[in-house]
Amino acid sequence: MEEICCTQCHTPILAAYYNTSKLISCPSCHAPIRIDVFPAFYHGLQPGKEGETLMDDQASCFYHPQKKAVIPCDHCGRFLCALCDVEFGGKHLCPACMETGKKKGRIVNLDRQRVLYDSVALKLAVFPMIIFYFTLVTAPIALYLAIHHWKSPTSLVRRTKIRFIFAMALAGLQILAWTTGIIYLVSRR
Amino acid sequence: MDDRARNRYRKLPGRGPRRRGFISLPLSRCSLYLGDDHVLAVDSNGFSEDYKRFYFSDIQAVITRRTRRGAAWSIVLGLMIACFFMGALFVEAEPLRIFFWILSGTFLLFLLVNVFRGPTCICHIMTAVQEDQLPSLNRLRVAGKVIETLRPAIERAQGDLRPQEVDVGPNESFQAARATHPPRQPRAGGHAIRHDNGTIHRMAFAFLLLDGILTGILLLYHTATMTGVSSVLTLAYSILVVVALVKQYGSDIPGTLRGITWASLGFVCLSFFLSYVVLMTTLVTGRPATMITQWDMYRTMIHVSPQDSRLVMGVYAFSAACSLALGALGLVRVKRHRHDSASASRPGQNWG
Repeated sequence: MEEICCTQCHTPILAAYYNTSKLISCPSCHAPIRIDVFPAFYHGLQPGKEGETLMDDQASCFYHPQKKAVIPCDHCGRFLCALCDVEFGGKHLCPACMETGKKKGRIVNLDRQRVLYDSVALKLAVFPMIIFYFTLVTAPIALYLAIHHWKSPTSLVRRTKIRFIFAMALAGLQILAWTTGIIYLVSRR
Repeated sequence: MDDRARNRYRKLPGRGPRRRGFISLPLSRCSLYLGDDHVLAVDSNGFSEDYKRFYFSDIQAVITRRTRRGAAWSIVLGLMIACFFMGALFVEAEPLRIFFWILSGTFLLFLLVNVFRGPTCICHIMTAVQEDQLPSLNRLRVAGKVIETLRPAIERAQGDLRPQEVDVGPNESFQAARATHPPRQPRAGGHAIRHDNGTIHRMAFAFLLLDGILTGILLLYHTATMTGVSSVLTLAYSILVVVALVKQYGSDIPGTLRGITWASLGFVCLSFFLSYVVLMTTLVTGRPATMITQWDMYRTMIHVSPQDSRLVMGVYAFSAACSLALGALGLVRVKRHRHDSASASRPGQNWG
């Protein structure tokens, strides 16, 4: 079992100090510390399963023909042994489907990073207004980003398209202002 | 397989910068979200987001440690308020007086917000394979609230704790682990804690106390020689305070003494700032044409007497009070630390 250590001095803390729901003093550095322990701490890591060897009349694993199949993949339907069965988000998947899902962004829970195109477009539309000459270049880029990435996945925790809408509106207004200005200057000559 | 629609997150309280190192620019802000079967830690820099998931079934422990960051900020803000309040009281020029009132009001607002948010903390989440900091949980109150929100969800996923696991298992395992592996030495930031008897601290606080006494005398009887000696002392304790701060890292210097040393550094910075204000005021009101070199400026400064203006009198009084308080407190605490260390290192006893 792992031991829980003080996060300041890294001294192991005795189990008597766990789940006290209040701050206790670290025996070594006297830092006030609170430790909330959950059942998983006592259970530890579960050992991985091994695929059982195939008998005569049993179905075999798609990836390991000598192993007994225990479950089909929820996505492709291939038979899987205990070793190949990846349980993720309440579903049983084979490693290939897992990899494909990750690459194509189908499994949201495997996403580790996302570019916020809506924020980028909005900032590109707003900040250059401080030195407005820049908007001649940035407004079309902001508009392009907003339109091109309208359907791209944005933040996992933010769902509205309001930033895209504001970016498009602002960039549109800037382009309109520049067009009007240029037409006015040309027509005056 | 597309479970995009199924995932819904609820924002958990707290938001904080992820710091990498002692002094670093917080480039990303971290927040926590509650998902169906996991907690999502989102690090956002405004252009992209990084995600880290902690599944309820994997979370082993949440470790919260109270820090002094909030208290340190309160002290710094308090000193700033005192400084600008004093400026507002003693400066004669009306626009400058209004400016100081606005500044002290602004810092008072920051101080109230800091006090209202409560004590600060550092929170770590532990799974079987990692221990990760949760920067969004940087206040004790918020951390407590989030832990109470997470607890039912985690216990639903992991089941309840069996009494035999809680009472017997960990203690037995702990004792067994202790029997097979020697106990680890306490460490600070990955290094073993070393003993420091606080000699540098003692020198710094002695100089500080001496300077406090000298400044107190200067308040009543001002001479250029004594001001010169005082400025040499100021320079000496400024250097010593910095050396003491470096030396106390990873040492067994107690928390109170560390706090006094940090407060002394704050005071050093503030006194330099106040000296700068006094110098600028003297430059403006004096004869700028006569001050050409740095040496001219210094000569002008040491001839500035507390009796010359209310601002200088206020600065001297504040400086003397702070020096005396910090110096005396520090010396008492160093003495106690040395005494504790000496008694603990006698045969048959262990210090630390």
